[in-house]
Amino acid sequence: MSVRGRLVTAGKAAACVLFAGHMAATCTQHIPEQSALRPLAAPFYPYEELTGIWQTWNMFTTPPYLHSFDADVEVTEADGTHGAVGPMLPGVRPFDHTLRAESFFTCVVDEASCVYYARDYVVRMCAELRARLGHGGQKIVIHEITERLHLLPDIRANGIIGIHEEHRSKPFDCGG
Amino acid sequence: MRRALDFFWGPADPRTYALVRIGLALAALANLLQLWPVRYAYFAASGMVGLDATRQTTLGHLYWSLFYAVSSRAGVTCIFVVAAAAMIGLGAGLATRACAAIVWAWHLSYSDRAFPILHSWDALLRIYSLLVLVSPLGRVWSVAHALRSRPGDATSVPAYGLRLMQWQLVVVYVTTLWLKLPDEYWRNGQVCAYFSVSFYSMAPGNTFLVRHEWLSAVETYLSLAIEASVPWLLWMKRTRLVGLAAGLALHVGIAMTSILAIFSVCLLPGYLSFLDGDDIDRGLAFARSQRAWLQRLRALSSG
Repeated sequence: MSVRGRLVTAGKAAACVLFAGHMAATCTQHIPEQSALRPLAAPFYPYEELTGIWQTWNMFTTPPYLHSFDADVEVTEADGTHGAVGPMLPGVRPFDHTLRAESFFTCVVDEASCVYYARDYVVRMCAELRARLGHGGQKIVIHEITERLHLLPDIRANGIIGIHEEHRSKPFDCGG
Repeated sequence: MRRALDFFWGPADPRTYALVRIGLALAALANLLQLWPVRYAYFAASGMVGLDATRQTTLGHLYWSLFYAVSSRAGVTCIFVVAAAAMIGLGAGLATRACAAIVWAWHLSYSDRAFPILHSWDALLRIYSLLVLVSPLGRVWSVAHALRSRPGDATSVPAYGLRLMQWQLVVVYVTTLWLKLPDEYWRNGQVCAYFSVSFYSMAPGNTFLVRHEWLSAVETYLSLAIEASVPWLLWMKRTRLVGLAAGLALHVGIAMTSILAIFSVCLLPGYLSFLDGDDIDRGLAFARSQRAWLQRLRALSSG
């Protein structure tokens, strides 16, 4: 084999190592956090973040829990009057019933890891309210309205698919 | 070592890469069109997802996004328009590598800017756009080829890109099966009944599967069986058509009964990566025969 041929083969062999590394990166990130083998995933994190191959495939690993999902923002003025506005920004528009919006509000209301997103959302909502109403000082609460699915035998027995539930975030003060 | 070299560097039909490229462009465009009406809500400074929150979340990590630097409404719209143009260019095979780079940067940018709104199809698009970017793209089935064909346009190219795409699809199905199997509702066959009345369903008020739970059990077990077998059926040439049909049945079913049609569309590049030259020839011959049949039918009906 010529020198050039050897170099090409060596280059291809080196690329094979990279390919194998990529394949390992796609696998190791699925090792459960509690597993003793989880440390194998750590060396690949930078590669996953830079290239965007981070992934989870836990879609519908449990059955869905909700029959319906809606959200709004409850606004209480300093004088005690209160009402509700649409939660979508910009524009304080009604909930748009998309999966992405549902994920966002589930995150900011229900998940502790989303505390920064909730804080930033509240800041923006307060700014929008101030711009629309001409004053601040409101207290706002992010409000989820859901229907949680009954068990199948119960749906068959009484024909009612979901039970009405409401979840509220803690109140946030918009400040003056 | 020789086997590894053959596995990754063996010859592949460039039309397979072209199919994956076109499939990815279509899926990416469908996803972008869904995001277009909510682009300010999730990517602009005036929207719902705070950039400060994203920065806090990504602190100490290597995530990156064009939206970290661009948050004005005009800037966000501009990124969307450029990304859409790149997707059209990628599908058409015009300045293909540059378009593939932009499409990859787009998927990373919106993903790394708005973590709380992401779903599984976003990961598929991110990953397959990277794999298309590093793959030999070839010039077959492209505007570039139509404008100025070259003698080498149809010659075989290395298979490594397809191997990585195939591997990814295997990982998707094996992982999701691994996570689903321990769940009692998957095991007792009730998942499809619950799904049919959930807000993911196209008709959440329809209790047909709840009233006919045996059908839900058949559907649930069938979908598990398909997820367990599809990667292997696709891998083996003899069973590839069965694998394609099974995967198509599962994902067309999901697309028609739920609001998750985009997920099915985004799996397209993964499936297409399993096709070889013979499969594509057979598919083209079938399409030609269907066209001839339709023409005969039209001639008969017109007189």
